[in-house]
Amino acid sequence: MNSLEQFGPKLTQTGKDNPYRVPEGYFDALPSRVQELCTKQKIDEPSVSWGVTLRTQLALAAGICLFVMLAVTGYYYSKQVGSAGLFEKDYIKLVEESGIEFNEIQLYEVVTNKAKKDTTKNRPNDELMDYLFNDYIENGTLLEPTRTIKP
Amino acid sequence: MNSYSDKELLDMYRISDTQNFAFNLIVRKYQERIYWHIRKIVVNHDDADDVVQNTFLKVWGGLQNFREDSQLFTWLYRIATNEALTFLKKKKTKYFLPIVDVEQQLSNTIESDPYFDGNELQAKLQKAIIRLPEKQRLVFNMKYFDEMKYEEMSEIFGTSVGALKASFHHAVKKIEKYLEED
Repeated sequence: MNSLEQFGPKLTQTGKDNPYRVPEGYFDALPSRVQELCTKQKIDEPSVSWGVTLRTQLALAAGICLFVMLAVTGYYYSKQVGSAGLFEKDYIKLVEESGIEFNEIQLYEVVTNKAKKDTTKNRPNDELMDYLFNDYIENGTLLEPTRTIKP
Repeated sequence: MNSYSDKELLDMYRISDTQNFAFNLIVRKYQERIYWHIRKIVVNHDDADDVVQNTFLKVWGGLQNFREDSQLFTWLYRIATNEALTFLKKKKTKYFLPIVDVEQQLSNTIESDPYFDGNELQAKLQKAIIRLPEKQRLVFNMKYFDEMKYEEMSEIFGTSVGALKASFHHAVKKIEKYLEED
């Protein structure tokens, strides 16, 4: 037992004896009562845990299936859309066919802002100019706006 | 009666043939320490009995996963403390009682408890302990009555030794003051 000297007189006087008690034979019976409870819980446990586990696993499996289905559908859909898209040749053809109605402002923007020249990104300006001359598009319509119009 | 070490008991528990036997031995080895620890928190014997059973049920469920990072008895104390405090909280919620009324109820239990054998001074000491804040109450009981080392208490509560010493010091001062009143 620890020394009581460190405590005040009243606490020392009270001492450390346990004032509580238990019914007679309580500690003799407790282990078997506890064991009984645990065994009962063990019997009850499997049905509950199996049900919960099964439900959880089914939900997880359903979630994974849904995810895979969405992924596959998304992949094929994007592939179809991609195949239906326009290639570089199509852009050139479009420009050739609608050359007469060519928007000058739009052309100016294409020439001055390289970021927007999608279909001609590999072509230098000179090549574009040659193309316009060859197709009888007046040079002035292209050059004049570059001098006068300020963005 | 039970001369097995904790390690031997745990090894026996992990073998399915000896699991029940080992658990029974663990209960026998620690039942008194766990019971008195809980009893000092909940005061009433019937409540303590319920909490002890719940504690060992939790132990039964968790022992398979006990990794021996801590000592078995500190792990048991931790479960017992949590169960006892949860019991008091549930009691408070169930009857919509403020903290002061729970303390009053526990004090009244001492006076009416057929399983309380203490004299007037001991009853006063128990009432003084009940008036302490939760942490100080636990620390005082474990240090004063159970004579537990601060290092072990630190492992149970996950608090520093310094903080526990301070809690005990404050608890002693408050109790002495209360005992000197009248």
